[in-house]
Amino acid sequence: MQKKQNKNDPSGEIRGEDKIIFNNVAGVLAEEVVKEYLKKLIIDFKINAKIVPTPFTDHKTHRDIKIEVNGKTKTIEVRSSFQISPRLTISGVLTWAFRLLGRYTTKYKKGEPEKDFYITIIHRYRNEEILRNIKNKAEVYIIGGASKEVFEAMGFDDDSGLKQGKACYRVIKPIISVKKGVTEVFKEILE
Amino acid sequence: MDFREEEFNGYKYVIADLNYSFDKEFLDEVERKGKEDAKKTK
Repeated sequence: MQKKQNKNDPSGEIRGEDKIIFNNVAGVLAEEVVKEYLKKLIIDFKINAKIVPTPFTDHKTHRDIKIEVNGKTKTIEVRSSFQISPRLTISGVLTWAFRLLGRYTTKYKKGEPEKDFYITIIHRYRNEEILRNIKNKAEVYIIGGASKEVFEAMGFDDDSGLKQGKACYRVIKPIISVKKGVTEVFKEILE
Repeated sequence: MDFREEEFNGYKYVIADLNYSFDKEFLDEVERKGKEDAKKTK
């Protein structure tokens, strides 16, 4: 009998290749849900807008959406994270545990051109649960977002990871400090 | 796929509800695309 494949290595960590699959599925799910929400708003409010198809780019951490609203192109970066701890409440998510991520730079190169908007998605379960969940029931939290102007005004540069070769992000924390909720941000995108 | 708005202390966020029975095509495509993108990820 064939031995059942173990998703984790002996240390209990998820194997690298599995993690890449889980993260990519999570990224696609986040991107597609944001697109569907935009499409719903476009139809509901009869807005002259369309989503512009974009090719895949290997960003690992985020996905980009382009939307044309009344002839003007706007760019949106979608980032998604897993909420590992099942005990963390929505209050914890919004008031201390998570942050909104904006533009980034690394020690070696400048980041990509700044986007007009940054949207954060949370999958409230662990990485390895995503394939099972999408075959059953899954909730996708569009938890927050802001324009680049709001990031400049309200955010701060978090360069704590720079020494480890990680990126320096413009962040807003806690999420709830952005007074505009998600619906307001999407309204701004579609203006 | 259904979208619902929820509120915490005046802050509004949105939840997308997905159910494989109703969103099979969408979710199968997400899985297919995610796995395909994973192969391209260095």
